[in-house]
Amino acid sequence: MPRKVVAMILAGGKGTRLKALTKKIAKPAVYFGGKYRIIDFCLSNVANSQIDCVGVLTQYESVVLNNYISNGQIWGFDGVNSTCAALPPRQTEEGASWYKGTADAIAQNIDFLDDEEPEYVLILSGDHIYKTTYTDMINLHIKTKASCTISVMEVDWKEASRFGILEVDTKDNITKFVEKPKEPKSNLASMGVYVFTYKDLRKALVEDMKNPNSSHDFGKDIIPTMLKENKKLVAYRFSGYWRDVGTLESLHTANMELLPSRRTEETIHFDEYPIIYSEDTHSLPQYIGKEAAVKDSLINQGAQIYGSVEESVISNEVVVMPGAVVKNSVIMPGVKIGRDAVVTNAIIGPNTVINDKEVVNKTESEIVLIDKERSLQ
Amino acid sequence: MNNVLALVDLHNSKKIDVLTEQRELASTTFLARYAFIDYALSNLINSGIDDISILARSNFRSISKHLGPVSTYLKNTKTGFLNVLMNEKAIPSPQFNTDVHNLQENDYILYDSNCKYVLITPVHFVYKIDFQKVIDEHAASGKVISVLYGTTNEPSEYAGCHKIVVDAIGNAQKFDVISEDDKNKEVNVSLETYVVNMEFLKDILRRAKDISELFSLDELFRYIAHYENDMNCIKHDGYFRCFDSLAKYYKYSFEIMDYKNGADKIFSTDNLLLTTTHNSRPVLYGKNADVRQSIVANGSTINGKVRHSILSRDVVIEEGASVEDCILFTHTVVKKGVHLRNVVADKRCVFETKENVSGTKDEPLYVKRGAII
Repeated sequence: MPRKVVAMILAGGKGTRLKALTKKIAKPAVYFGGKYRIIDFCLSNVANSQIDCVGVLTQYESVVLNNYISNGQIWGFDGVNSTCAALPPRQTEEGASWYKGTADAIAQNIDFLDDEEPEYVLILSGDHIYKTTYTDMINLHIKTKASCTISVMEVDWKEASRFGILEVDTKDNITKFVEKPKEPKSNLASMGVYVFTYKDLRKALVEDMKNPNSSHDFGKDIIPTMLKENKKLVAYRFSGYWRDVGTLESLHTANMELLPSRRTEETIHFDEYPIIYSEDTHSLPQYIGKEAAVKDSLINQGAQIYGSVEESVISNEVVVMPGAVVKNSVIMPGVKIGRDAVVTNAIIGPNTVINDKEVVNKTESEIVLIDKERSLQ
Repeated sequence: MNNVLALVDLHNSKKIDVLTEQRELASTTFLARYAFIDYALSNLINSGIDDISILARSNFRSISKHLGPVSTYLKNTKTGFLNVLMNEKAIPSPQFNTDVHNLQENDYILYDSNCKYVLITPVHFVYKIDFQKVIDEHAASGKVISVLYGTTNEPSEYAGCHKIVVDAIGNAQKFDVISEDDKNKEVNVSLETYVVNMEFLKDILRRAKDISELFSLDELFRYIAHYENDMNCIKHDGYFRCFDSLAKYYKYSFEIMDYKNGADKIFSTDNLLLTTTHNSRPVLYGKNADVRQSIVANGSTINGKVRHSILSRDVVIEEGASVEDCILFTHTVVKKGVHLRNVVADKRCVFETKENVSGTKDEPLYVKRGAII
């Protein structure tokens, strides 16, 4: 049965700058906000947009992510005629091949798209933190009869050279796309969110696969080629909270922006629609002990706090022992913080043990990551 | 465990005063994120029993709402089975709305089953148990019926429950109601949980109307034990409590809350406590939060003082408010300047005008659902 929209989420990246956090899991599977994983945001956004078919393209350390995605039950994709499929690289009659770029990942799954017969394809990055529905963007795409619509947001001019930058005319038709320009002529940055008319996308992908000089990337190859061919490409202006959590510092900052003292009207408010769905662990409710002190923090169920927690995000099954102090830190699931230990300005990876009286980042100078295997950062 | 059919029997659930006026005990909030039925279902699932029917007498909406999708509890939704049975015929004549009539009305559940044993358990007793061992012990006894009991030195806590006199070979010699006369004695309390052979249960149900049209299963089994068959007694060695009044609900909730003492008895890392999900975010603590010795469910927002309390989902404690020795159900809001002490607040209460609202330790103040005070 033909579908109006199929979403494809690019979730194969390693996220090298997150260091040991992505040693055994892909960046989209990294924990965020005490309860969530990064990929929960775009999968929830897709579900909240009433899109009922989604493919998640996984590659780097895909076991945890594939398992987490499963049949999409967490985000409600296990309903009637809904589909949620993890799509790792595979062996075919032509041989086996890794995904060589973002466009190649989609191209290698053209059969998946053909089977679903979509009119439009929504392509997303699985590693961004934002709440939205894509309905307005898709409606704009349909209304303008574009081949491709790209979600953009205005960034600080000083930051513009870090992004793929779009130049547009007065009607927001895209006239030029430059990846990380040295001297940007616009501050409209691509968010890596695209809506394509499938027949145009299919044609572009097939041609790109034949091009030996292509890097098979949407930003570097597909979009510039479509512009050269005078296809109609339109910018959709997104305004709101959107964060790329590609570094330890940005991951820490985005977590801190969830705290009561730092959140604003613009930042993520989990209680407000659209809701972000996540795995709900069978944890006990959190327990705050007799001598505990908790201020300005976000704490998930399953945590047991007997020490002091301030300006921190605490995940499920974390234990903060008596006398321990946790400040300005992100503590991931299953961490044990020993008696009289001090943890400040840190990200503590899942299942790490901080010993009694251990001091983490006593200089308070920059964010430090401690992981289970104590890899040196 | 494919040879056991489980019946979670809600017909004889105790009424906890006003708390269960509009709902079954089974779906009554307990320990912040659970309802009483979660303990019975978790014990069954953790024991490998996944063929479960719930015998419900009333308030079907609140039971269905709490249970949510069967995948909340069942490990495999194809091979496992969880459903709610009710007796529509009893609606115009409530005196016949018994578990016996419910089971007779829905006896296909027995006749369609290949199970050898039936385990029947209520929800007003809370304890942690491996039912596999209970089934094994029943099978080894060679008897057609077994009853589970616990031993206590505090019989006054179980007034109104039945004590069992166990003979030297482990059979139930006598059932009696626990009374004042039992003070300071060690008594065996019936946990009202039975294992019966399937064919024996079918036979009893066929004969039930000749014994009494108004008997419950519990009464029928006690009658059988007294007049007809030997009943094997199986001892539960762990912690157990019977929830049959608001005062006990309040007292035992705090007894269990302390992770180092009570909670270990019904919580453990190897036995998952299963309950339905609500997509609530983690708890937000503001700059003025001052919380100690409390359990808090997700979705809550706390910026005031909380001492020795149990807060359910989506509770709001504003700056300048204080809560002490309280149990607050979901969506309760305590506004600035309000102080609560020894209060059990039902769902969606708002405390905004009266500055001090309090009960006592022995008689906590119950505030009904949706009250604005």
